[in-house]
Amino acid sequence: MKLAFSAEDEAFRAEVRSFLAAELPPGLARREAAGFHNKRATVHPWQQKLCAKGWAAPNWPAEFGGAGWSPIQRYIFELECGLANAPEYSLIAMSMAGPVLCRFGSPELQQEFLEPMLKGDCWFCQGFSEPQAGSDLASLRTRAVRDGDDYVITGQKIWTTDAHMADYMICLARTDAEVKPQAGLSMIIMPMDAPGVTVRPIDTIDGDAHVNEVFIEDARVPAHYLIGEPNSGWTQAKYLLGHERTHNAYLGMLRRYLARIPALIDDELCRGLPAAEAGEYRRRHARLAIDVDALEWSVLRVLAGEEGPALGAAASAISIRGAAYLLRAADLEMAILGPQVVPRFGPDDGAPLVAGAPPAAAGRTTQYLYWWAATIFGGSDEIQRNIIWSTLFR
Amino acid sequence: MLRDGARRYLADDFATRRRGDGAAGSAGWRGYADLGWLALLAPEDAGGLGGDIEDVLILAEEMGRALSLQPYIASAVLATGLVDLVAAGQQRLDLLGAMASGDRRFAPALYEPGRRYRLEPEVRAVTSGAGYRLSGAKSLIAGGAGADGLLVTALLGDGVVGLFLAAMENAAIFPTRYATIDDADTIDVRFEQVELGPDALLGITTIDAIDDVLDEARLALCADTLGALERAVEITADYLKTRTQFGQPLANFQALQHSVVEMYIDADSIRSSLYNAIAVFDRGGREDRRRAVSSCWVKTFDAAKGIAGMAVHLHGGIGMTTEYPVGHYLRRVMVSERSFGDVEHHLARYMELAG
Ligand SMILES: Cc1cc2nc3c(=O)[nH]c(=O)nc-3n(C[C@H](O)[C@H](O)[C@H](O)COP(=O)(O)OP(=O)(O)OC[C@H]3O[C@@H](n4cnc5c(N)ncnc54)[C@H](O)[C@@H]3O)c2cc1C
Repeated sequence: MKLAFSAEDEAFRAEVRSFLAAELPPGLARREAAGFHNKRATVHPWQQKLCAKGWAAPNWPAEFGGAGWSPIQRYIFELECGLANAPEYSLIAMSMAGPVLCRFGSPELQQEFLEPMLKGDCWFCQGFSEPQAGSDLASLRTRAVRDGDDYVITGQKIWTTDAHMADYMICLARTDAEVKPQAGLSMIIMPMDAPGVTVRPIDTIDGDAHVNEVFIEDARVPAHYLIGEPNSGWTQAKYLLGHERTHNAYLGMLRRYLARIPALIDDELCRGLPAAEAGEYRRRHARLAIDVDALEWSVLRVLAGEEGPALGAAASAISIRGAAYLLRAADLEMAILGPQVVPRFGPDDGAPLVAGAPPAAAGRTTQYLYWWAATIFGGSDEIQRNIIWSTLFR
Repeated sequence: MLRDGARRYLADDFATRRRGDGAAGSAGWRGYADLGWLALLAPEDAGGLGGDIEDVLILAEEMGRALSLQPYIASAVLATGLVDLVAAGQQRLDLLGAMASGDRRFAPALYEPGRRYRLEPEVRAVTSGAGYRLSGAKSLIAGGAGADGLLVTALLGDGVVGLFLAAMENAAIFPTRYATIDDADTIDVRFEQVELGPDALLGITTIDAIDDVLDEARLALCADTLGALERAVEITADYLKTRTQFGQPLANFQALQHSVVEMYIDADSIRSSLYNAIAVFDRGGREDRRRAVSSCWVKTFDAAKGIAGMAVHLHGGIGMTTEYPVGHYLRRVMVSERSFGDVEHHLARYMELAG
């Protein structure tokens, strides 16, 4: 297969680069480089700048205010944002709820939600997982019962990222208990301030607080907040989870690691890192770079629409390796920085530095620990392997 | 017997920690003293039990398993070894006695900012009147928070290394306290012209001798890690038997059985490597001992994060929470693997000695 970036692609890359250099606030980039999760207020100004430029939603159709880019352009944008330490913002709205609304939402819902989403004025969380329904998502029990002009929702969600700062949840709920599990689900927009909705934060081992439990007791939601037809939620959920086929390669993040690691090694030579060890870390860096180059081509093959059954399996393969390489990259950084990485991270005060340590040492354990979650969420490694087997070999 | 008693005694450590009532505090240390654990390694002439390293390793395993936050390896194993090595006469007997009884707890301050795992100190001690004046900085002092004093390696005027005991209440000692990712407390300190009395110098020593004492602490940390990893494997196997998805226990899935078995094999081969090191430790000369310790270290920490991380992974979301114990094993080994050297450091030492 032959595939190269065209002259237009390269011009686009240059445009993105200079925009990022001029507009991305340095303080925000520093926070992002350290691996701290973003607060709504800290990323809002950045999203507004992107919105003004028309770049806030790389993967929405242009008619809804999206950037209207080709897959390759989207990919270039993600990569450059990664390298520049640009933070993600309002992730669920931009890459999940938004695309679902563009595709399945009524004109009224599109009218009500898409523009505020673009501006960063309306944040979403994704309420799929439940205590008893993780990998086996279709077994979820949260119910939505029609009552006059409303749906009444009752149940419990868990691991809901950003629920504590979201205005709405895209809630996957059971609207028909009589049919087979997948056929009785609907996706409903639920206001987080509806009476009966309680959010409880969950502390995670990386030291941050970004996931939550959400308890829902008889929350009333206008019936037209149900997206598309009743009982079509499984189709929409699959569309949503598959939408960013190549996002889970984490290429932006991986390129960011690869770009900064050599300087980190040089720097540590002045802090007692023996030269022979530095050589070992350079070799590990090179091995990782080789793996990431191949991963990048796996992504490009998907973007170029290479045909065949392997395409269906490619997103799963990419997501397994993406998470594994992130763990390797974060582990390599920790190894280079040695004992300086051990302080515990706290969401408000960041990570204290060991005496004499470089600022780059802050937040390293946080990131490493968080990448273990990347082997779990959005379909765990095992579930992805099952998908690959049944797509290619069954 | 020691193991059973320790397991029972330590069983509540994680629960106590969650309630936040200071298992790491002084009451816990007193409990260790009452059980005789602090006296295990102290020589008999100083009121200790003169026990051998194997007993200490059993305790360390149990402490790792229980996620204990007491600075046992720093303040009991390492501190006792250093004082026994360097101090002399009545002072040696007094200090070892006070440490063994839990009346006084000291934290070794060996490593320095920006010097990674180098033991040659840059902290300086010059004579001042009848005593000494200390200046410089030490970092990552495990057990430093709440200790009565620091055991500080410093360069004396004539280029010799001395071990000083500096009381924490000295006003010219500036500590910075922070928690490490395993939830233990640690401190960095700056010595700004700290005036010490003549008896603060416990004695002079060599880097080689300190490294030998450190080797006992290193083995103890490998044992602690082994205990932690074996427990993480057990917890994971148990969890998979109780968690139901797709209408059956997760333990039914062969892919998951095999993952647990791989974790078990890796952890179990750490035990073999530890036994190899113990055998050499008892009989071997300095070079053999060093090589065996470094070999065990590499074996342990090459595998540790992979085992503990997989334990988290196999739990799914719940493994990522602080409320549930399994993730704490991963956090613990992330600190252990870079205390007293790391894998590359010990691999290099092993290769040097392998000739
Ligand atoms: C940091 C984080 C953020 C998250 N954010 C969100 C969010 O915003 N919204 C949301 O809805 N969810 C979210 N999730 C939930 C995530 O999607 C689930 O954790 C995931 O689906 C796994 O479910 P579970 O945790 O119940 O694990 P389980 O399904 O219980 O799985 C436990 C282990 O068993 C394995 N396993 C399960 N089934 C099989 C099988 N058939 N064969 C082999 N192995 C199997 C899994 O791979 C895993 O290792 C988040 C999770 C995390 C950790």
